[in-house]
Amino acid sequence: MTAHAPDAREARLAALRRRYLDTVLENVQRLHSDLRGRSGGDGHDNAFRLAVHSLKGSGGAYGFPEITQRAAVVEQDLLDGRDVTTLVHGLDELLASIQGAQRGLPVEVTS
Amino acid sequence: MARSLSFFSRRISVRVIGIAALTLLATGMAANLAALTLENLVTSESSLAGGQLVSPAALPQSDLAVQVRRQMVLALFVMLLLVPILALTLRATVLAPLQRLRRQVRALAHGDLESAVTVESDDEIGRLAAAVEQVRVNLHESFEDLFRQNERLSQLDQMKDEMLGQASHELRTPLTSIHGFVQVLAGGKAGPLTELQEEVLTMVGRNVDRLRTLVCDLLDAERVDKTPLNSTPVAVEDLLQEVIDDQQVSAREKGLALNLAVPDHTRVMGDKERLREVFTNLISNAIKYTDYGRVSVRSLHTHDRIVLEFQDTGIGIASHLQPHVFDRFFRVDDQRVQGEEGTGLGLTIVKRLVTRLNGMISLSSEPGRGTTFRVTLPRAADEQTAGATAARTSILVATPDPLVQTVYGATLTHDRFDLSYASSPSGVLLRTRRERPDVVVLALGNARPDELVRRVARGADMARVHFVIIGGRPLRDDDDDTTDPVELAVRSASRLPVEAGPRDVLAVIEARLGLSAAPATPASTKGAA
Repeated sequence: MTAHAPDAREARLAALRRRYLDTVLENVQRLHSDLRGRSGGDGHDNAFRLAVHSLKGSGGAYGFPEITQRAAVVEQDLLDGRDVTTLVHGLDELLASIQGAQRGLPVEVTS
Repeated sequence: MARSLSFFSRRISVRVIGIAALTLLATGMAANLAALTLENLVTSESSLAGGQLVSPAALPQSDLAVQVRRQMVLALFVMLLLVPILALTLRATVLAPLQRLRRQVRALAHGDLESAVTVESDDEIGRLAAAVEQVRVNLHESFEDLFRQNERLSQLDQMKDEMLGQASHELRTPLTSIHGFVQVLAGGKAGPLTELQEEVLTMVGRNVDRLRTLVCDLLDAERVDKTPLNSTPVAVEDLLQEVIDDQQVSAREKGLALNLAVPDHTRVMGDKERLREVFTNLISNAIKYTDYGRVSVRSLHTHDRIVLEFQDTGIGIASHLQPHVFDRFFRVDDQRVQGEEGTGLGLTIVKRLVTRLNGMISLSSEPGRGTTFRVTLPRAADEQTAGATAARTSILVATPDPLVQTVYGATLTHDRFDLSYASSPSGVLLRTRRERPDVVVLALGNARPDELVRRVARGADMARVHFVIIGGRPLRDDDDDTTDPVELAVRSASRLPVEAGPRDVLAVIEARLGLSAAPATPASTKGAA
């Protein structure tokens, strides 16, 4: 059993959420550049699909439902066999959500 | 099949465009090739004819080449116009019917047997649709037939119950007389008996007693659905103590310990005498099938329910027999208990009574190690208030991501919560069986969480566990009146959208438990399976 004061707990939660956003931002940026580098095709590959599915599952758990919703749209586009342009657009929206969530987090105070 | 059709139609779409483009390209190339060939032919003939080079433009045949080229260019333009028309026609005649068929097959796959599968077409697609429609009609008729048979069987079952009840009632009176006469004879009141006569009378008396027990149980089983029940607060601890006192002699004869661990404030809503019957049946049954060790009764409390566990260290019940334990006339076929008397109706009566008292009963058992019956009953209102500050709620959070587990740990903070975690479906099964949590949160990203709920509900205390499912497909609306406890567990699960987070889960659990207090201290935690 581990006990934390509410403030400490909130700070830990905020740190976790910040870390999550940093990680997913990096991941989505990488997906985005990979996808833009493709000359054709429909963006279908397992790694891409899994990454998007994982984002869909984790966003809400960290308290960012919009990330889940945006990732769900990209996943659906993938399932529908949409073209790369559509997928890139979906990732743009996803990146915007992540960056918006980052801006909404309280500023980390370091001493 | 719907997915295959979707794939098929997408492929056709791509092919139509491809064929159109290729046709266009081929037409253009053919036009140029034909014009060039003709021009070359004319040039070479004219050169050979005069023995000197003559300009093709000067020859009358070159007009033919120009005309051919013009014709070909015209043909190309015509093709340019025709190809989109061809593509649209193909879309209307092939793609649209395929998409319609796909929608209809998808509806069929989801159980819609009422809507006909119709595609107005004489081609292969039309024939495919007709074949699917035939399958739908056959399925529909089979279901209708099953439904009618089921109805008929239910009626027959009811008639059989009524006949059995009537016959039992008719049998009881003469059996009582026989029992009385046997006692008169055995007591020597009708004259002295030889040793053989006494022995025979003892056997007759024993069998008459067995018959009377059977008839009484049959009557009870028939009556249990019809007798009106009271619903008043019942002090469970007092009632259980009385039942245990009554059973002490039997337990002592077998050297068994009878333990009771139920708080004295525990009160449920129910009919005291019917509950006495339930408890007596369960405890006497436990004693009957236990040779060594103990029989113990304990209680677990949730916000609105009391779970009573009747646990023994007896012979146990094999897993393949467990689903039949509550069936009429079911008896464990074990050499160790062959001498025990019983009709196999006791647990049937218990289950019917508990169900009528708005409760549920389940069991878990391991051969050679014992059996636990769990009876879940509604908690009396004042009991709910009195126990509100004491009861704790155990929550199992299932999510594969350790960091998400941490977020849940930091969010589901309440001094009444005990948290534990699982990372996979097998972990959920393991922990639910070991810990029997009050709430299971499933955030495994599994497309079929209901299956996991069913597996858990079959093994754990299905009445007590509440499931919160994040994501997953919505439940279909059919079979709303199911009484199967496993299906009830699935249907009563709280369902949250995929974007729901720990705060939404907290709100659901608090609403369910009737908690309104703000989060206080973090819950105690256990490791992940």
